[in-house]
Amino acid sequence: MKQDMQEARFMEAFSLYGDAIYRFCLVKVSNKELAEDMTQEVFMRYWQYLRDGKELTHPRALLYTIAHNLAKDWYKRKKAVSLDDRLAAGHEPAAHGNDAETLAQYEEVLAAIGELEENDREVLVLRYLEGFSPKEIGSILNETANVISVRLNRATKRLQHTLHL
Amino acid sequence: MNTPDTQLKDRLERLTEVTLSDTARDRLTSNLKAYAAFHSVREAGQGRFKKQVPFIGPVITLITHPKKFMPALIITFALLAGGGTSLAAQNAVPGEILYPIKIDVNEKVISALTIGDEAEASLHAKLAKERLEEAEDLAADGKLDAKLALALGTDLKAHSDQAEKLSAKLEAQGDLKTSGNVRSTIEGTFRSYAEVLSGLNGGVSGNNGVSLISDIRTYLNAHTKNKATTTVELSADLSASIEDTVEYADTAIARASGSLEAAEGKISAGAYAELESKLDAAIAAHTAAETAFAAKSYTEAYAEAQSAIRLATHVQTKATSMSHLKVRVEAAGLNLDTLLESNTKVKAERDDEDEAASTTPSENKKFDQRPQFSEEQPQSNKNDTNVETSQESSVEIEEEKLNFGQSLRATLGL
Repeated sequence: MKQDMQEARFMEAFSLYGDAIYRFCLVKVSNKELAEDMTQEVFMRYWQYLRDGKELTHPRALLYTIAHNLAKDWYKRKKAVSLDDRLAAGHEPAAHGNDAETLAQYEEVLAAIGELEENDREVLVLRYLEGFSPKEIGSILNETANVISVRLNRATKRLQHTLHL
Repeated sequence: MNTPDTQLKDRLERLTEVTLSDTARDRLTSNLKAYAAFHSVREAGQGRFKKQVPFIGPVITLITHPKKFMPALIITFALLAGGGTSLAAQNAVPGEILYPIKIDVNEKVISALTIGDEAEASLHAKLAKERLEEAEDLAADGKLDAKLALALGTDLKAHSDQAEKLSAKLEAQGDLKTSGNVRSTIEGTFRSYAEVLSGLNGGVSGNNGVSLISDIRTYLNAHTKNKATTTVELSADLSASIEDTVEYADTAIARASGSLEAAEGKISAGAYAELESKLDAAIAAHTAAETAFAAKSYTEAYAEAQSAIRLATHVQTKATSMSHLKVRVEAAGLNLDTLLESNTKVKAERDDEDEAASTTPSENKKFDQRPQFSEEQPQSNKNDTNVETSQESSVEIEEEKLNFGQSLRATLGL
Protein backbone atom coordinates (compact mmCIF):
# COMPACT_ATOMS: atom_id res chain seq x y z
CA MET A 1 0.00 0.00 0.00
CA LYS A 2 1.18 3.44 -0.97
CA GLN A 3 0.66 4.90 2.50
CA ASP A 4 2.88 2.24 4.09
CA MET A 5 5.50 2.63 1.41
CA GLN A 6 5.65 6.41 1.72
CA GLU A 7 5.59 6.20 5.51
CA ALA A 8 8.51 3.79 5.45
CA ARG A 9 10.38 6.15 3.14
CA PHE A 10 9.50 9.04 5.44
CA MET A 11 10.71 7.36 8.62
CA GLU A 12 13.84 6.17 6.89
CA ALA A 13 14.64 9.74 5.89
CA PHE A 14 14.14 10.81 9.50
CA SER A 15 16.43 8.12 10.81
CA LEU A 16 19.09 8.93 8.20
CA TYR A 17 18.97 12.71 8.28
CA GLY A 18 17.16 13.62 11.52
CA ASP A 19 20.39 14.26 13.42
CA ALA A 20 21.98 16.22 10.62
CA ILE A 21 18.94 18.44 10.21
CA TYR A 22 18.81 18.90 13.98
CA ARG A 23 22.47 20.02 14.01
CA PHE A 24 21.81 22.40 11.18
CA CYS A 25 18.80 23.87 13.01
CA LEU A 26 20.70 23.99 16.29
CA VAL A 27 23.52 25.98 14.81
CA LYS A 28 21.04 28.28 13.12
CA VAL A 29 18.85 29.02 16.14
CA SER A 30 21.12 28.18 19.09
CA ASN A 31 18.31 26.68 21.13
CA LYS A 32 17.82 23.00 21.74
CA GLU A 33 14.02 22.90 22.07
CA LEU A 34 13.51 25.21 19.15
CA ALA A 35 15.92 23.17 17.02
CA GLU A 36 13.96 20.02 17.86
CA ASP A 37 10.70 21.68 16.93
CA MET A 38 12.19 22.97 13.71
CA THR A 39 13.51 19.51 12.87
CA GLN A 40 10.01 18.16 13.32
CA GLU A 41 8.56 20.90 11.14
CA VAL A 42 11.14 20.22 8.41
CA PHE A 43 10.11 16.58 8.24
CA MET A 44 6.40 17.43 8.35
CA ARG A 45 6.88 19.62 5.32
CA TYR A 46 8.84 16.87 3.66
CA TRP A 47 5.88 14.54 4.27
CA GLN A 48 3.72 16.88 2.24
CA TYR A 49 5.93 16.09 -0.74
CA LEU A 50 5.70 12.36 -0.12
CA ARG A 51 2.00 12.61 0.51
CA ASP A 52 1.37 13.68 -3.05
CA GLY A 53 3.11 10.54 -4.20
CA LYS A 54 6.36 12.24 -5.13
CA GLU A 55 9.40 10.08 -4.97
CA LEU A 56 12.63 11.80 -4.18
CA THR A 57 15.67 9.62 -4.44
CA HIS A 58 17.83 12.23 -2.73
CA PRO A 59 15.75 14.04 -0.13
CA ARG A 60 18.80 15.35 1.71
CA ALA A 61 19.21 18.59 -0.19
CA LEU A 62 15.48 19.24 -0.05
CA LEU A 63 15.49 18.77 3.72
CA TYR A 64 18.25 21.33 4.10
CA THR A 65 16.44 23.74 1.82
CA ILE A 66 13.31 23.45 3.94
CA ALA A 67 15.36 23.89 7.12
CA HIS A 68 17.13 26.90 5.66
CA ASN A 69 13.82 28.55 4.76
CA LEU A 70 12.32 27.83 8.16
CA ALA A 71 15.33 29.28 9.92
CA LYS A 72 15.16 32.34 7.72
CA ASP A 73 11.54 32.90 8.70
CA TRP A 74 12.50 32.48 12.31
CA TYR A 75 15.31 35.03 12.04
CA LYS A 76 12.97 37.53 10.58
CA ARG A 77 10.60 37.16 13.49
CA LYS A 78 13.15 37.17 16.20
CA LYS A 79 16.62 38.48 16.58
CA ALA A 80 19.26 35.94 17.43
CA VAL A 81 18.90 34.42 20.85
CA SER A 82 21.47 35.69 23.29
CA LEU A 83 24.35 33.55 24.41
CA ASP A 84 22.83 33.36 27.89
CA ASP A 85 19.61 31.99 26.50
CA ARG A 86 21.54 29.50 24.50
CA LEU A 87 23.51 28.29 27.48
CA ALA A 88 20.42 28.26 29.64
CA ALA A 89 18.61 26.16 27.07
CA GLY A 90 21.59 23.86 26.92
CA HIS A 91 22.40 21.76 23.93
CA GLU A 92 24.76 19.16 25.19
CA PRO A 93 25.51 16.34 22.81
CA ALA A 94 23.35 13.29 23.28
CA ALA A 95 25.64 11.86 25.91
CA HIS A 96 27.24 9.03 24.04
CA GLY A 97 29.73 8.65 26.83
CA ASN A 98 31.23 12.08 26.24
CA ASP A 99 33.50 13.30 29.02
CA ALA A 100 33.41 16.78 30.48
CA GLU A 101 36.36 17.93 28.37
CA THR A 102 34.70 16.90 25.11
CA LEU A 103 31.51 18.59 26.16
CA ALA A 104 33.44 21.75 26.95
CA GLN A 105 34.96 21.62 23.46
CA TYR A 106 31.53 21.29 21.86
CA GLU A 107 30.39 24.24 23.89
CA GLU A 108 33.35 26.30 22.86
CA VAL A 109 32.94 25.59 19.16
CA LEU A 110 29.18 26.07 19.28
CA ALA A 111 29.62 29.32 21.19
CA ALA A 112 32.17 30.51 18.62
CA ILE A 113 29.85 29.57 15.77
CA GLY A 114 27.04 31.36 17.58
CA GLU A 115 29.06 34.56 17.40
CA LEU A 116 29.22 34.39 13.62
CA GLU A 117 26.71 35.86 11.24
CA GLU A 118 23.87 33.64 10.13
CA ASN A 119 25.19 33.30 6.57
CA ASP A 120 28.60 32.26 7.84
CA ARG A 121 27.20 29.66 10.22
CA GLU A 122 25.22 27.77 7.66
CA VAL A 123 28.00 27.45 5.11
CA LEU A 124 30.38 26.15 7.77
CA VAL A 125 27.91 23.57 8.97
CA LEU A 126 26.96 22.41 5.52
CA ARG A 127 30.60 22.21 4.43
CA TYR A 128 32.35 20.72 7.45
CA LEU A 129 29.64 18.88 9.33
CA GLU A 130 27.60 17.61 6.46
CA GLY A 131 30.25 17.43 3.76
CA PHE A 132 28.40 19.25 0.99
CA SER A 133 30.45 20.73 -1.84
CA PRO A 134 30.27 24.50 -2.42
CA LYS A 135 28.20 23.77 -5.51
CA GLU A 136 25.70 21.68 -3.53
CA ILE A 137 25.56 24.32 -0.80
CA GLY A 138 24.89 26.85 -3.52
CA SER A 139 21.89 24.91 -4.73
CA ILE A 140 20.53 24.58 -1.20
CA LEU A 141 20.99 28.25 -0.37
CA ASN A 142 20.18 29.46 -3.86
CA GLU A 143 23.57 31.07 -4.42
CA THR A 144 26.36 30.45 -6.90
CA ALA A 145 29.25 28.16 -6.00
CA ASN A 146 31.57 31.17 -6.16
CA VAL A 147 29.59 33.14 -3.61
CA ILE A 148 29.61 30.10 -1.34
CA SER A 149 33.37 29.62 -1.69
CA VAL A 150 34.00 33.24 -0.81
CA ARG A 151 31.62 33.07 2.14
CA LEU A 152 33.17 29.83 3.31
CA ASN A 153 36.65 31.22 3.18
CA ARG A 154 35.62 34.30 5.12
CA ALA A 155 33.68 32.29 7.69
CA THR A 156 36.60 29.93 8.23
CA LYS A 157 38.95 32.83 8.94
CA ARG A 158 36.50 34.42 11.34
CA LEU A 159 35.95 31.23 13.25
CA GLN A 160 39.68 30.55 13.47
CA HIS A 161 40.13 34.02 14.82
CA THR A 162 37.42 33.51 17.46
CA LEU A 163 38.85 30.17 18.49
CA HIS A 164 42.39 31.60 18.52
CA LEU A 165 43.69 28.97 16.10
CA MET B 1 50.12 18.77 9.56
CA ASN B 2 48.35 20.69 12.21
CA THR B 3 47.54 23.98 10.54
CA PRO B 4 44.77 26.26 11.78
CA ASP B 5 42.70 25.02 8.84
CA THR B 6 42.92 21.36 9.76
CA GLN B 7 42.48 22.15 13.45
CA LEU B 8 39.30 24.02 12.72
CA LYS B 9 38.07 21.31 10.40
CA ASP B 10 38.68 18.69 13.06
CA ARG B 11 36.86 20.64 15.69
CA LEU B 12 33.92 21.32 13.43
CA GLU B 13 33.76 17.72 12.34
CA ARG B 14 33.55 16.63 15.93
CA LEU B 15 30.28 18.48 16.14
CA THR B 16 28.74 15.70 14.06
CA GLU B 17 28.60 13.88 17.37
CA VAL B 18 25.88 16.28 18.40
CA THR B 19 22.67 14.36 17.87
CA LEU B 20 19.08 14.44 19.00
CA SER B 21 18.70 13.12 22.52
CA ASP B 22 16.96 9.75 22.79
CA THR B 23 13.92 11.39 24.36
CA ALA B 24 13.70 13.95 21.60
CA ARG B 25 14.19 11.30 18.94
CA ASP B 26 11.38 9.17 20.37
CA ARG B 27 9.10 12.16 20.66
CA LEU B 28 9.77 13.28 17.10
CA THR B 29 9.45 9.76 15.73
CA SER B 30 6.06 9.30 17.31
CA ASN B 31 4.86 12.79 16.31
CA LEU B 32 5.97 12.29 12.73
CA LYS B 33 4.33 8.88 12.50
CA ALA B 34 1.07 10.32 13.81
CA TYR B 35 1.35 13.23 11.40
CA ALA B 36 1.91 10.96 8.41
CA ALA B 37 -0.99 8.74 9.43
CA PHE B 38 -3.30 11.70 9.90
CA HIS B 39 -2.38 13.34 6.61
CA SER B 40 -2.62 10.20 4.58
CA VAL B 41 -1.24 9.74 1.08
CA ARG B 42 -3.46 10.81 -1.78
CA GLU B 43 -3.86 7.69 -3.78
CA ALA B 44 -4.40 7.97 -7.50
CA GLY B 45 -7.26 5.97 -8.93
CA GLN B 46 -9.02 5.50 -5.63
CA GLY B 47 -9.90 9.07 -4.89
CA ARG B 48 -8.21 11.06 -2.27
CA PHE B 49 -10.46 10.21 0.58
CA LYS B 50 -11.55 6.65 0.34
CA LYS B 51 -9.85 4.93 3.22
CA GLN B 52 -12.27 3.71 5.87
CA VAL B 53 -11.83 1.60 8.95
CA PRO B 54 -13.46 -1.83 8.53
CA PHE B 55 -15.65 -1.86 11.64
CA ILE B 56 -17.64 1.12 10.44
CA GLY B 57 -19.11 -0.84 7.52
CA PRO B 58 -21.63 -3.01 9.38
CA VAL B 59 -22.73 -0.04 11.45
CA ILE B 60 -23.52 1.91 8.32
CA THR B 61 -25.63 -0.88 6.87
CA LEU B 62 -27.65 -1.04 10.07
CA ILE B 63 -28.73 2.53 9.78
CA THR B 64 -31.11 3.13 6.95
CA HIS B 65 -31.78 6.77 7.74
CA PRO B 66 -28.42 8.13 8.72
CA LYS B 67 -29.57 11.70 8.83
CA LYS B 68 -32.05 10.99 11.58
CA PHE B 69 -29.45 9.26 13.72
CA MET B 70 -26.56 11.51 12.86
CA PRO B 71 -26.13 13.39 16.16
CA ALA B 72 -26.15 10.24 18.26
CA LEU B 73 -23.97 8.50 15.75
CA ILE B 74 -21.34 11.21 15.73
CA ILE B 75 -21.17 11.40 19.49
CA THR B 76 -21.05 7.61 19.82
CA PHE B 77 -18.30 7.30 17.25
CA ALA B 78 -16.34 10.14 18.71
CA LEU B 79 -16.61 8.80 22.27
CA LEU B 80 -16.10 5.12 21.61
CA ALA B 81 -13.54 5.16 18.89
CA GLY B 82 -11.80 8.45 19.59
CA GLY B 83 -8.84 9.08 17.33
CA GLY B 84 -9.55 6.14 15.03
CA THR B 85 -12.82 7.61 13.86
CA SER B 86 -11.28 11.01 13.43
CA LEU B 87 -8.61 9.50 11.23
CA ALA B 88 -11.14 7.61 9.16
CA ALA B 89 -13.31 10.69 8.88
CA GLN B 90 -10.40 12.69 7.53
CA ASN B 91 -10.75 10.67 4.34
CA ALA B 92 -14.49 11.21 3.93
CA VAL B 93 -16.20 13.16 1.16
CA PRO B 94 -19.60 14.91 1.44
CA GLY B 95 -22.49 12.47 1.55
CA GLU B 96 -20.48 9.90 3.47
CA ILE B 97 -21.45 9.14 7.00
CA LEU B 98 -18.17 10.25 8.53
CA TYR B 99 -18.04 13.54 6.68
CA PRO B 100 -19.69 15.58 9.48
CA ILE B 101 -16.97 14.34 11.83
CA LYS B 102 -14.34 15.62 9.47
CA ILE B 103 -15.99 19.04 9.26
CA ASP B 104 -17.39 19.46 12.74
CA VAL B 105 -14.85 17.62 14.84
CA ASN B 106 -11.52 17.29 13.02
CA GLU B 107 -11.44 20.67 11.35
CA LYS B 108 -12.80 22.48 14.37
CA VAL B 109 -10.14 20.91 16.56
CA ILE B 110 -7.41 21.84 14.09
CA SER B 111 -8.85 25.32 13.88
CA ALA B 112 -8.93 25.64 17.68
CA LEU B 113 -5.31 24.55 17.85
CA THR B 114 -4.25 27.03 15.21
CA ILE B 115 -3.07 30.16 16.90
CA GLY B 116 -2.32 33.47 15.27
CA ASP B 117 -3.87 35.30 12.34
CA GLU B 118 -1.10 34.21 10.02
CA ALA B 119 -1.59 30.50 10.66
CA GLU B 120 -5.36 30.85 10.64
CA ALA B 121 -5.39 32.61 7.28
CA SER B 122 -3.29 29.81 5.80
CA LEU B 123 -5.54 27.21 7.43
CA HIS B 124 -8.65 28.71 5.85
CA ALA B 125 -6.93 28.71 2.47
CA LYS B 126 -6.05 25.06 3.03
CA LEU B 127 -9.58 24.10 4.08
CA ALA B 128 -11.01 25.92 1.05
CA LYS B 129 -8.72 23.78 -1.09
CA GLU B 130 -9.89 20.68 0.77
CA ARG B 131 -13.52 21.50 -0.15
CA LEU B 132 -12.50 21.90 -3.78
CA GLU B 133 -10.69 18.56 -3.75
CA GLU B 134 -13.83 16.96 -2.39
CA ALA B 135 -15.91 18.59 -5.11
CA GLU B 136 -13.47 17.28 -7.69
CA ASP B 137 -13.66 13.75 -6.30
CA LEU B 138 -17.44 13.85 -6.23
CA ALA B 139 -17.64 15.30 -9.73
CA ALA B 140 -15.27 12.68 -11.09
CA ASP B 141 -17.51 9.99 -9.65
CA GLY B 142 -20.63 11.68 -11.00
CA LYS B 143 -21.84 12.18 -7.43
CA LEU B 144 -21.79 15.94 -7.30
CA ASP B 145 -25.49 16.63 -6.91
CA ALA B 146 -27.03 20.05 -6.45
CA LYS B 147 -27.38 19.68 -2.69
CA LEU B 148 -23.77 18.67 -2.13
CA ALA B 149 -22.64 21.40 -4.49
CA LEU B 150 -24.59 23.92 -2.45
CA ALA B 151 -23.19 22.66 0.85
CA LEU B 152 -19.64 22.74 -0.49
CA GLY B 153 -20.23 26.21 -1.89
CA THR B 154 -21.43 27.47 1.50
CA ASP B 155 -18.46 26.06 3.33
CA LEU B 156 -16.12 27.31 0.66
CA LYS B 157 -17.52 30.79 1.06
CA ALA B 158 -17.01 30.66 4.83
CA HIS B 159 -13.33 29.73 4.44
CA SER B 160 -12.82 32.11 1.58
CA ASP B 161 -14.34 34.99 3.57
CA GLN B 162 -12.31 34.18 6.66
CA ALA B 163 -9.09 33.92 4.68
CA GLU B 164 -9.85 37.24 3.05
CA LYS B 165 -10.76 38.91 6.35
CA LEU B 166 -7.54 37.74 7.97
CA SER B 167 -5.51 38.66 4.89
CA ALA B 168 -6.88 42.19 5.05
CA LYS B 169 -6.06 42.36 8.76
CA LEU B 170 -2.53 41.08 8.22
CA GLU B 171 -2.04 43.48 5.40
CA ALA B 172 -3.11 46.35 7.62
CA GLN B 173 -0.51 45.17 10.13
CA GLY B 174 2.18 45.20 7.48
CA ASP B 175 2.40 41.43 7.01
CA LEU B 176 2.26 41.61 3.26
CA LYS B 177 3.91 38.26 2.89
CA THR B 178 1.10 36.23 4.44
CA SER B 179 -1.74 38.31 3.04
CA GLY B 180 -0.22 38.24 -0.44
CA ASN B 181 0.54 34.53 -0.26
CA VAL B 182 -2.89 33.57 1.00
CA ARG B 183 -4.73 35.65 -1.58
CA SER B 184 -2.56 34.57 -4.48
CA THR B 185 -2.65 30.93 -3.41
CA ILE B 186 -6.44 30.98 -3.14
CA GLU B 187 -6.70 32.71 -6.47
CA GLY B 188 -4.48 30.15 -8.20
CA THR B 189 -6.25 27.24 -6.52
CA PHE B 190 -9.76 28.51 -7.26
CA ARG B 191 -8.85 29.22 -10.86
CA SER B 192 -7.57 25.69 -11.38
CA TYR B 193 -10.55 24.03 -9.78
CA ALA B 194 -13.03 26.24 -11.61
CA GLU B 195 -11.49 24.96 -14.84
CA VAL B 196 -11.27 21.32 -13.88
CA LEU B 197 -14.76 21.29 -12.36
CA SER B 198 -16.27 23.01 -15.40
CA GLY B 199 -14.92 20.17 -17.50
CA LEU B 200 -16.11 17.45 -15.19
CA ASN B 201 -19.43 19.07 -14.45
CA GLY B 202 -20.75 18.97 -18.00
CA GLY B 203 -19.24 15.61 -18.77
CA VAL B 204 -19.88 13.56 -15.67
CA SER B 205 -22.01 15.31 -13.10
CA GLY B 206 -25.05 16.17 -15.19
CA ASN B 207 -24.40 19.89 -14.76
CA ASN B 208 -25.28 19.75 -11.07
CA GLY B 209 -22.19 21.62 -9.99
CA VAL B 210 -23.02 24.75 -11.94
CA SER B 211 -23.88 26.84 -8.86
CA LEU B 212 -20.68 25.73 -7.16
CA ILE B 213 -18.59 26.70 -10.16
CA SER B 214 -20.33 30.04 -10.28
CA ASP B 215 -19.58 30.45 -6.55
CA ILE B 216 -15.92 29.61 -7.07
CA ARG B 217 -15.64 32.18 -9.83
CA THR B 218 -17.37 34.80 -7.69
CA TYR B 219 -15.00 34.23 -4.76
CA LEU B 220 -12.08 34.16 -7.15
CA ASN B 221 -13.02 37.53 -8.53
CA ALA B 222 -13.53 38.88 -5.02
CA HIS B 223 -9.98 37.90 -4.08
CA THR B 224 -8.62 39.34 -7.30
CA LYS B 225 -10.47 42.56 -6.64
CA ASN B 226 -9.31 42.85 -3.04
CA LYS B 227 -5.76 42.17 -4.03
CA ALA B 228 -5.89 44.79 -6.74
CA THR B 229 -7.52 47.49 -4.67
CA THR B 230 -5.25 47.01 -1.70
CA THR B 231 -2.02 47.16 -3.65
CA VAL B 232 -1.44 50.59 -2.24
CA GLU B 233 1.69 52.63 -2.10
CA LEU B 234 4.23 50.38 -0.48
CA SER B 235 7.02 52.07 1.31
CA ALA B 236 10.58 51.01 2.04
CA ASP B 237 9.82 49.98 5.63
CA LEU B 238 7.75 47.14 4.21
CA SER B 239 10.58 46.01 1.98
CA ALA B 240 11.44 42.97 4.12
CA SER B 241 7.89 41.69 3.86
CA ILE B 242 7.85 42.32 0.12
CA GLU B 243 11.16 40.56 -0.27
CA ASP B 244 9.63 37.57 1.53
CA THR B 245 6.79 37.55 -0.94
CA VAL B 246 9.23 37.63 -3.84
CA GLU B 247 11.16 34.75 -2.29
CA TYR B 248 8.00 32.79 -1.66
CA ALA B 249 7.13 33.20 -5.33
CA ASP B 250 10.39 31.44 -6.13
CA THR B 251 9.47 28.56 -3.81
CA ALA B 252 6.00 28.36 -5.35
CA ILE B 253 7.56 28.18 -8.82
CA ALA B 254 9.91 25.40 -7.72
CA ARG B 255 6.97 23.41 -6.38
CA ALA B 256 4.91 24.03 -9.50
CA SER B 257 7.81 22.95 -11.64
CA GLY B 258 8.08 19.71 -9.63
CA SER B 259 4.36 19.02 -9.96
CA LEU B 260 4.41 19.70 -13.67
CA GLU B 261 7.40 17.42 -14.14
CA ALA B 262 5.60 14.67 -12.24
CA ALA B 263 2.51 15.16 -14.43
CA GLU B 264 4.42 14.82 -17.69
CA GLY B 265 3.10 11.87 -19.64
CA LYS B 266 0.08 11.63 -17.34
CA ILE B 267 -1.72 14.62 -18.80
CA SER B 268 -2.35 15.45 -22.46
CA ALA B 269 0.37 17.19 -24.45
CA GLY B 270 -1.94 20.17 -24.92
CA ALA B 271 -2.62 20.53 -21.22
CA TYR B 272 1.08 20.13 -20.48
CA ALA B 273 2.04 22.82 -22.97
CA GLU B 274 -0.60 25.15 -21.54
CA LEU B 275 0.69 24.68 -18.01
CA GLU B 276 4.28 24.99 -19.16
CA SER B 277 3.56 28.35 -20.72
CA LYS B 278 1.84 29.45 -17.50
CA LEU B 279 4.91 28.37 -15.56
CA ASP B 280 7.05 30.42 -17.93
CA ALA B 281 4.79 33.37 -17.25
CA ALA B 282 5.22 32.78 -13.50
CA ILE B 283 9.00 32.72 -13.91
CA ALA B 284 8.86 35.91 -15.98
CA ALA B 285 6.70 37.57 -13.30
CA HIS B 286 9.16 36.49 -10.61
CA THR B 287 12.08 37.91 -12.58
CA ALA B 288 10.14 41.14 -13.04
CA ALA B 289 9.45 41.16 -9.28
CA GLU B 290 13.14 40.76 -8.50
CA THR B 291 14.09 43.51 -10.93
CA ALA B 292 11.44 45.83 -9.53
CA PHE B 293 12.54 45.06 -5.97
CA ALA B 294 16.15 45.80 -6.83
CA ALA B 295 15.00 49.09 -8.33
CA LYS B 296 13.03 49.78 -5.10
CA SER B 297 9.73 49.79 -7.02
CA TYR B 298 8.05 48.00 -4.16
CA THR B 299 4.46 48.24 -5.34
CA GLU B 300 5.38 46.71 -8.65
CA ALA B 301 7.59 44.05 -7.05
CA TYR B 302 4.74 43.02 -4.75
CA ALA B 303 2.21 42.87 -7.60
CA GLU B 304 4.55 40.85 -9.81
CA ALA B 305 5.43 38.46 -7.00
CA GLN B 306 1.75 37.86 -6.28
CA SER B 307 1.12 37.28 -9.93
CA ALA B 308 3.95 34.71 -9.96
CA ILE B 309 2.51 32.96 -6.89
CA ARG B 310 -0.95 32.89 -8.42
CA LEU B 311 0.31 31.43 -11.69
CA ALA B 312 2.58 28.92 -9.97
CA THR B 313 -0.21 27.76 -7.63
CA HIS B 314 -2.48 27.42 -10.63
CA VAL B 315 0.09 25.27 -12.45
CA GLN B 316 0.80 23.15 -9.39
CA THR B 317 -2.84 22.58 -8.47
CA LYS B 318 -3.94 21.85 -12.00
CA ALA B 319 -1.04 19.55 -12.83
CA THR B 320 -1.62 17.53 -9.65
CA SER B 321 -5.37 17.54 -10.06
CA MET B 322 -5.33 16.56 -13.76
CA SER B 323 -2.92 13.70 -13.33
CA HIS B 324 -4.90 12.47 -10.34
CA LEU B 325 -8.14 12.71 -12.31
CA LYS B 326 -6.78 11.02 -15.38
CA VAL B 327 -5.92 7.89 -13.46
CA ARG B 328 -9.21 8.00 -11.69
CA VAL B 329 -11.45 8.68 -14.67
CA GLU B 330 -9.68 6.14 -16.83
CA ALA B 331 -10.07 3.55 -14.11
CA ALA B 332 -13.81 4.10 -14.59
CA GLY B 333 -13.43 3.33 -18.31
CA LEU B 334 -13.70 6.93 -19.51
CA ASN B 335 -11.32 9.21 -21.28
CA LEU B 336 -10.47 12.42 -19.50
CA ASP B 337 -9.40 14.29 -22.62
CA THR B 338 -12.67 13.55 -24.41
CA LEU B 339 -14.53 14.45 -21.28
CA LEU B 340 -12.82 17.77 -20.89
CA GLU B 341 -12.77 18.59 -24.59
CA SER B 342 -16.56 18.59 -24.71
CA ASN B 343 -16.32 21.71 -22.64
CA THR B 344 -13.30 23.20 -24.32
CA LYS B 345 -15.18 26.06 -25.86
CA VAL B 346 -16.77 27.23 -22.65
CA LYS B 347 -13.54 26.68 -20.79
CA ALA B 348 -11.52 28.68 -23.32
CA GLU B 349 -13.89 31.60 -22.96
CA ARG B 350 -13.63 31.44 -19.23
CA ASP B 351 -9.86 31.21 -19.41
CA ASP B 352 -9.86 34.45 -21.33
CA GLU B 353 -12.14 35.98 -18.80
CA ASP B 354 -10.00 34.83 -15.89
CA GLU B 355 -6.94 36.38 -17.43
CA ALA B 356 -8.90 39.54 -18.16
CA ALA B 357 -10.11 39.72 -14.59
CA SER B 358 -6.60 39.75 -13.28
CA THR B 359 -4.95 41.91 -15.90
CA THR B 360 -7.20 44.12 -17.95
CA PRO B 361 -10.42 44.86 -16.13
CA SER B 362 -11.62 47.24 -18.80
CA GLU B 363 -12.05 44.35 -21.22
CA ASN B 364 -14.54 42.59 -19.02
CA LYS B 365 -17.60 44.00 -20.75
CA LYS B 366 -18.11 41.00 -22.97
CA PHE B 367 -18.56 38.71 -19.99
CA ASP B 368 -21.32 40.69 -18.40
CA GLN B 369 -23.88 37.97 -18.99
CA ARG B 370 -22.78 35.99 -16.00
CA PRO B 371 -23.88 36.87 -12.49
CA GLN B 372 -20.50 37.74 -11.09
CA PHE B 373 -18.62 40.93 -10.56
CA SER B 374 -15.50 42.00 -12.30
CA GLU B 375 -12.40 43.34 -10.66
CA GLU B 376 -12.87 47.08 -10.91
CA GLN B 377 -16.62 47.33 -11.18
CA PRO B 378 -18.01 45.10 -8.54
CA GLN B 379 -21.56 46.35 -8.43
CA SER B 380 -21.57 49.32 -10.71
CA ASN B 381 -23.10 50.52 -13.99
CA LYS B 382 -22.32 47.86 -16.57
CA ASN B 383 -23.31 44.97 -14.41
CA ASP B 384 -26.51 46.50 -13.10
CA THR B 385 -28.89 44.82 -15.52
CA ASN B 386 -27.34 41.46 -14.98
CA VAL B 387 -27.23 41.84 -11.26
CA GLU B 388 -30.93 42.58 -11.37
CA THR B 389 -31.80 39.67 -13.66
CA SER B 390 -29.84 37.28 -11.52
CA GLN B 391 -30.97 38.79 -8.26
CA GLU B 392 -34.00 36.58 -7.92
CA SER B 393 -32.10 33.36 -8.43
CA SER B 394 -29.31 34.59 -6.13
CA VAL B 395 -31.85 35.22 -3.39
CA GLU B 396 -33.25 31.76 -3.91
CA ILE B 397 -29.82 30.23 -3.73
CA GLU B 398 -29.00 32.25 -0.64
CA GLU B 399 -32.21 31.11 1.02
CA GLU B 400 -31.56 27.54 0.10
CA LYS B 401 -28.04 27.82 1.46
CA LEU B 402 -29.36 29.29 4.66
CA ASN B 403 -31.97 26.57 5.02
CA PHE B 404 -29.47 23.89 4.29
CA GLY B 405 -27.02 25.34 6.79
CA GLN B 406 -29.73 25.52 9.44
CA SER B 407 -30.97 22.00 8.83
CA LEU B 408 -27.41 20.71 8.87
CA ARG B 409 -26.72 22.38 12.18
CA ALA B 410 -30.01 21.10 13.58
CA THR B 411 -29.22 17.62 12.35
CA LEU B 412 -25.85 17.75 13.98
CA GLY B 413 -27.32 19.13 17.15
CA LEU B 414 -25.15 22.25 16.98
